Amino acid sequence: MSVAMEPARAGYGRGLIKAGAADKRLIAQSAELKGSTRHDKFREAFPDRFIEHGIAESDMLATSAGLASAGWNAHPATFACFLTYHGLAPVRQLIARAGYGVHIMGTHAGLHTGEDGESAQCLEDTTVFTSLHGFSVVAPADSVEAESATQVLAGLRSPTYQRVGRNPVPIIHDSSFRFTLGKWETRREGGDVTLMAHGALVAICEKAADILVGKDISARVINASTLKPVDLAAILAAGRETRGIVVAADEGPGGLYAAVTGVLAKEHPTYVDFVGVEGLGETGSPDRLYEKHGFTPEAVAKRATALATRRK
Amino acid sequence: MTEGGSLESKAVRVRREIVRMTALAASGHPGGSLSCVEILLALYSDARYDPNDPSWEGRDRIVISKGHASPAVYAVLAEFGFIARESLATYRTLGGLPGHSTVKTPGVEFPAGSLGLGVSFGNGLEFARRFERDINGRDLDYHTFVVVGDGEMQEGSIQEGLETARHHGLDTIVIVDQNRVQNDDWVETTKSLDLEAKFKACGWDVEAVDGHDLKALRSAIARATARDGTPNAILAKTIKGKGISFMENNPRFHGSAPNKEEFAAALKELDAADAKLRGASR
Repeated sequence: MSVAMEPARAGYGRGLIKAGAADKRLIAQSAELKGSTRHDKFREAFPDRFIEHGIAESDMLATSAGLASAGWNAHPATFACFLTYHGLAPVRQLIARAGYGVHIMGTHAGLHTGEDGESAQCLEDTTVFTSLHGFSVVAPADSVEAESATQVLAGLRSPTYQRVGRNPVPIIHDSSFRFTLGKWETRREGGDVTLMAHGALVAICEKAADILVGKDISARVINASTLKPVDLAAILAAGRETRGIVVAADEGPGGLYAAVTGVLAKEHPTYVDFVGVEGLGETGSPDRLYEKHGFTPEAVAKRATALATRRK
Repeated sequence: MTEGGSLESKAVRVRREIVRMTALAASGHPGGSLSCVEILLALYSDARYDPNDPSWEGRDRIVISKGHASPAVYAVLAEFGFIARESLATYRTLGGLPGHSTVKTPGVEFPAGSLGLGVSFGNGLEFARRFERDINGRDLDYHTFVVVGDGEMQEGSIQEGLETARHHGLDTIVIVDQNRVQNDDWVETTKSLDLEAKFKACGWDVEAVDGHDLKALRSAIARATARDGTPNAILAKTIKGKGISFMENNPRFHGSAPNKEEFAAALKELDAADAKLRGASR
């Protein structure tokens, strides 16, 4: 059976054009790489509402703050790694401090960036942005969710960060899907173990749940696409109703894993395993890197089995 | 003490507040506050704004990027009716006026404190003015002034902003408070740089003025507001700690407040300056 695939950033590009059509004050900004971020499509649609900054991420984000302070809906985008690190000073010192409604997109996040190596494989963006005052942080599972989330976030008057990967991922939502900030989506009900994921790992966890059925293990699958604010009810329910949680995400331990364990340590101590990336990535094909780090249905199913069969 | 009066008498009053605020807080940055007093007074005396409606969208944008000069900023905002003079006593206290100027205070445009970000922010305001005109057909007709320090010019992010302004033909105006002293030492000793050459290399128009000559500053600012699609820089040659003999050109007063004795001595000098002004105007 062939599954339709598309990079999530393609959905971001469509969502941005829709949001831009609805809001004449929406401005897209690039620090180069506009073909990669899909800001080229926005520029084609709205050439008078686009700013090219050149390779100058800090300039782009400090300018976003100025635009927002004058009432414009700034949408800066570039690779997650470059905007997180070159752009962090204006992000923290201007946007977070003043609470400007700037909507930041980081593309090419995670190991999925593959051959470009660790300089482009941002594993800490979610850790950084979830730690910033006032930010909402979203990592959509596919292009449909990205398209919807982009339009929802564009309507907020507070800062947001959205991250997507480079590569095509299975389209798991039908076109009627609507994103809700802070509300996690239960992809599949299950009572033995919970698989929580965002981004490309959601589809992988769904396949892992298929494998677990064969082992008579009922796995709940949750698309935890809002990293901030988290869905407290979904976390607590998973902690109370299943024997353990596997958090699977193409990032370091400071993102979704920290958010989930932080809630449960206080409210309902639960075993939580992490299928993610400790340390840096490296050059390799996305598939080989995903295999190496346990981002496969088989590996996730194995980790989930260990949790589900753990003796209390 | 009466409000109003000449800009020169305002300058003395602002300097008095700067030493009072930093002495009272026993911290803060008096040197770089005293150096930019005339720059701020020149800007606020000619700019368009409404202290009763600080977020009026047609206001000129005065972006203070060197946010450690907050005592000067607050004293000038009090002088022009944005904040109550009594609030100056709350400088650097919990719930009071913040150590570095930020948007919580009426009249402050920019969340300052981390150097090097004001030029790009100012560009954002100029882009916004252009979008308002081109997309919505509304000419808000404001000017954007960004006040930076000469030590701050060492930040690489400034370079990015200078290039963007020139490439996009923005009319951003940068005023450098060139007081030649930074936190640790003289700017020249720390990392020397020909600022005029730097601005010119980035395609900016540059003019140097005596940064304590109010008349010269005001006419340089008026010239810089010509909308010719070229950004303008004004190098205001100033003296760190200006107006207090023992604080002038003394790197110690970049980031240290005057003690009790120094405070008293400073007030005495300012009283003498005030008396001299009154004598001259008689």
